[in-house]
Amino acid sequence: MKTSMKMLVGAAVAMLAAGCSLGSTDVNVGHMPQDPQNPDPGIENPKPNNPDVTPTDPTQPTNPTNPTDPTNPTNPTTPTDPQPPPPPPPRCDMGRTYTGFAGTELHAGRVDNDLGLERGRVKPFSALTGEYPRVLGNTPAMLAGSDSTFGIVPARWSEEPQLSAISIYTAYRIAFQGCLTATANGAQYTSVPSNTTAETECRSWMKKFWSRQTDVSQAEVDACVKVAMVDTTKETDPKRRWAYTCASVLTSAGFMTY
Amino acid sequence: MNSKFSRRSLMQGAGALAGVAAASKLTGASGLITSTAHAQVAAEKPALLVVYLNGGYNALFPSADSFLGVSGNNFGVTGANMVKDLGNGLMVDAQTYGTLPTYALQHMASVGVRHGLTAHGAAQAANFTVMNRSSLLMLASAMGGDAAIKAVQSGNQGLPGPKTPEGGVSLQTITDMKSTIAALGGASDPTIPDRTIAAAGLEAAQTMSDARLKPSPLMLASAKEGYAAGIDTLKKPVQMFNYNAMAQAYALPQNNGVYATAVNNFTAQIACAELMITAGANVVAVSNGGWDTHGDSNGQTVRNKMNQTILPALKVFINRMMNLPDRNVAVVIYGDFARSLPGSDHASALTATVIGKYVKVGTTGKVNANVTLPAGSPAVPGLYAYLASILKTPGQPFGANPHPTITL
Repeated sequence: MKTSMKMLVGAAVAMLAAGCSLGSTDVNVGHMPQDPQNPDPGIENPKPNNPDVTPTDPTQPTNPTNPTDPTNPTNPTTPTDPQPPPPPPPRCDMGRTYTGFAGTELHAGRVDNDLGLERGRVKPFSALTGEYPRVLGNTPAMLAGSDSTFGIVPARWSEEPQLSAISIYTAYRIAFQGCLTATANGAQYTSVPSNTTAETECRSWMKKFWSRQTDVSQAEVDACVKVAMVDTTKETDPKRRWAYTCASVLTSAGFMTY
Repeated sequence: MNSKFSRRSLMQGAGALAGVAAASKLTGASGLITSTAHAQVAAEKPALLVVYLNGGYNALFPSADSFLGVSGNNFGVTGANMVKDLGNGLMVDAQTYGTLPTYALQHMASVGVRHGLTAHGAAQAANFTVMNRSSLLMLASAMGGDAAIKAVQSGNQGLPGPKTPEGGVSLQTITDMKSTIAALGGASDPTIPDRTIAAAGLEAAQTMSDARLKPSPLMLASAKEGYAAGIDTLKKPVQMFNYNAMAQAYALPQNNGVYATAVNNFTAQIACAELMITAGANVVAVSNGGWDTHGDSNGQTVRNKMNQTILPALKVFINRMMNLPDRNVAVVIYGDFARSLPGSDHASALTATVIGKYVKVGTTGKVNANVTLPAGSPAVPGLYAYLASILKTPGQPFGANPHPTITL
C-alpha cells in the first residue's frame, strides 16, 4: 500500500509537471467549481482501485514485478545493461466524453497522443501581415494583395489555417521581395557569399526569423548555406543571391508556423 | 536575371502557343492555352470535377419522375412538364437540369448510393471515405499522370473525410488563381523569382522545416504536403494561361478592368477547377454550402439555388471542358443525402448525378416516393468504382463497377 500511494503521488506529480490534467483534457478548468476534496479540479482523487494506476500494473517502473525495473532481480537486462530502455512518454488520459444532439459522440476521433506532439500551428495570414515587416524591417508590396491566396477566414468564423503548394510558393515570393529590399543596403550583401559569410548570415536570419537563439542545427545551417553557395551560383547580382538565401530561411516552418 | 527569365518564359509560352495552335482548333479553342496541351492530344487526359452540395442533394434533380403523381408534398413535381425525359429511364428536373447543354443531357446518368446515413457528419464523412481512406485521393492517385498537383480543393470550403495522401498525392487547396498561375509559371512579373532557384530555395526551406514539422504530423500536415507539392510544381515545365479569356467566359467580376482572381464564390471555384484541370489535375473538388433545406417541400428553394448559383458556372464548364477530343472530363454532383418527404428532411440514401464522355444515359438511382433506394443498391464505394470506370482509371481501385448499365 505504501508503494502504491507513493506511486500514485509520483504519477500525479509527473503528469502535472508535463502539463497534463486527468479527466478534463479538453476542458477549460479555469472557471469550474473546485472540489473541496481535490484542490485541482482537473485531477481525480487517487483511488486504489483506479484501473489506470493499478498497483499490480506491470508497466509501473516501481512495481517489483516489472521486468524493466533495474532494481528487479528478475530483470534480465539488469546485470549487463546499465541503461534500461527509457520509460514511455507521459500521456494524458482521453478526458471527458461528450454526446451531442442527435446522439453523436463528439469525442469520436479524438487523438490520444504522447505529450508534446501536435503543438505546431500554421500562422494565419492575419499574423503574417505583421510578421514579415517585423522581421524584415520592410513591408513587401505583394503582401497586401495576397490575402486570398492564404484563404482569409470570414469575420466571426474559426478555421484552422492551412498551407498549400500555392500559398507556400507565394510566401516565398513575398519573402524574396522583402529580402531584396532588406539586402539592398548593407555592405555584407555587396560581395558574393563565402562559406563563412553565408553561415554567419544564415545563423543571423534563423535567429531573427525563427526567434530561436542557440538550438539551430547544423543541418539547418547547411541547407541555408547551400542556397547561397550552390543553388544561386547562376545569379550574378550578389544582393539577389543573398535575397534568395534569405527567402529560403523566411519560407521555412520556423517562420511560417508557431 | 529575372527579366531574362521572364523573356525566356514568354518565349517558351510563345512556342507553346504556336505548337498548340492546331490543337486549339481541334479542341474547339477552349481559350486556355498550355504548353502541355499539345502533347496530350494523342491520349485522353482524364479528370473529375466533384461538385459537393453540403447539406443534401434533392433527388428531384436526378430522379424527378419519382415524385410524379405523389399527392401532397412532392417537391413541386406537379405534372409531366416538370420532368425532362433523357431516355433509358432517366428523367430529370426540367426547370434545372433540363436546361443544361445538349452534351450534358446526352451523357448523364443518375447513380444510386444507398449509404443508410441520415446524420450530416456521418454522411459527409462516408461520402468521401472508402476503406478508411480518402476516396478522392485514392482516385486521383490511381488516375496517374505527371502533374505536380493532382488533387485540388477549389476554394476555402473544406471537404469532409480523411485527407491522408495516397501514393504521394495530397489535397492542395487553391484560393487564388493569380498566385496559382504564377506558381505554374504563367506570369511574367519581374519580381517573380527564378523558378530553378526558387525550387532549390523551397527544398532548402523544406529541409530547414523538418525539425518543426516532425512533432506535428497532423497539425502541420498541410505544410509538409505543401512544400513537396510546391517544389514539384516549380520543377514542372512552365504553363501559360489566358486567364482573361477564361474569366470573361465565366463572367467573373472586374475591378478597374482587372478580373478578380480570388476563389471565393461558386463561379470562381468552377473557373479555378477549369484552370487546375487544364494544368493537369486529376480531381478537383468544389463544395457549396446551404443545401440543408428543411421545409422546402415544393423544391423551390433548391431549384432557385441550382439555377442561380450552380448551373450558370457549370454550363460554362461543360461547354468549355467536356466535349474535347483530347480529354475525358467527368462531373459528379452529390451531397450528404437526398431530402425526404413530406418535410424535405434527411433521407437515408443519395442519388448522384454524373456527366461524362463514357456515361451512358440511364439511372441506377431512381428513388421511390418515400425517397429510398431499392435494397441491394451499391453504397459509396460503388459510386467511386463507377467514377473510376468512366474515367478509364487503370486497375480497379474501388473494385468492380457495379453500375455497368450506365457505362459506355
